[in-house]
Amino acid sequence: MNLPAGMLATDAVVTGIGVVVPPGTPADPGRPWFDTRARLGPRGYKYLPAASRYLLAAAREAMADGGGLDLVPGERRAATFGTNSGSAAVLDGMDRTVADGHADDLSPAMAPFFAINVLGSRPCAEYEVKGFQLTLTSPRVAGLEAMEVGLRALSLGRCSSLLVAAMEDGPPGPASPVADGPALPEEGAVAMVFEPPAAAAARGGRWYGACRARTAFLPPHLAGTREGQDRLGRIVTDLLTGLGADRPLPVHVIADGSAVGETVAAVLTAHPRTGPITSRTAAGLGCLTPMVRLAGLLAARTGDRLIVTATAEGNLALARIFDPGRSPC
Amino acid sequence: MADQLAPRLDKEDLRLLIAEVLDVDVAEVTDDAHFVDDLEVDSLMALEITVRLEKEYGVRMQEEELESIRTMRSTYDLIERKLRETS
Repeated sequence: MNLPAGMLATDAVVTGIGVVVPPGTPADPGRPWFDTRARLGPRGYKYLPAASRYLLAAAREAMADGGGLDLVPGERRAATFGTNSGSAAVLDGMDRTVADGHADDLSPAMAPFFAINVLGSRPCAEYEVKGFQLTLTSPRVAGLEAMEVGLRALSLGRCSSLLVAAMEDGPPGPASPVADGPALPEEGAVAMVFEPPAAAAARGGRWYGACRARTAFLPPHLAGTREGQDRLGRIVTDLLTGLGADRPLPVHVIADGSAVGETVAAVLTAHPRTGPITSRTAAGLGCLTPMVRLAGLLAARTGDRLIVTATAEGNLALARIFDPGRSPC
Repeated sequence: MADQLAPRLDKEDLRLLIAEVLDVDVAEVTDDAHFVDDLEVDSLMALEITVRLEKEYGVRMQEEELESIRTMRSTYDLIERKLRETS
């Protein structure tokens, strides 16, 4: 197989994509848009939090789209998930139950979802993911971070297929301002199935592209300072090296208008190894938007790209899309 | 045994409650449908039923009483007895 510049044989390809988000933007919290019975089935989801329902629907879409798990033993299947507010509604409900009554009134069926890792357990049970399952929660970058961590494990041979997803539900209530500006709650989920290109080619599968992601942290108080610019320059160079970005690529920025986000955008604009910023998307209050953007670019087959997200909390993530061609050579 | 224990326990209300908790059609909750064998109730859902019954009827279940929550009929009998004991 001829690989594009910077892509390694160990880089996994995306063979299935599932996107379950409210139609239109921006999100309007509280507006019903997800019909559980229609999307998932008539029974068995009553005690599944909304974020888990979105995740399950997206995972089913991605699995149906990719169709490559049959040949992979359950012990070799893995999943990594990202969320910031996936448990918020459940935890709020628990708080309310205890505050208004007693801990004895807590719903036993919902109690397991106190642990954020349990949000992703349903698709893992449904698809017999027995290798490992991990949920990451870093502000705004958790989806891309889940991709980074999962793909690292896949490239090291710790699993043979990987489900990566981001899910969000809220936070409940009206949008609240973050450090440097308002952002909207996110609802929905995005799921992607990754496989080694050789395995996908062997079974005659097709793919959308390959991905790699890297994350970093800039102390927010350094944003806008000379020290911060210098440090960020080194961070971005390291991240680009990790992504194999040895030539300028178009950049898609998802940022929240914060000082960190603007500093990252400025450093990227001036960096010799990045191309023009071709789009800017407002970040939401969770980690979903960068994954929606990534999935959209993959599905549109836009070719080699960089996706960047940076937030007021100091977290930043870069992801790269490689376009290795649809069919093996 | 009377199906009505005035005024707090109504058999059809109890059936509706159990159907709602178990997320099944109320018609499936027949008097003798076994919660485990017929309605796929696991230990977590058994606890869910218990918590809802305690809250709805203001009774407190003892651990040894939970095995009585196995069918609609046995559950009704249990609640009826608990209410009678507390009245």
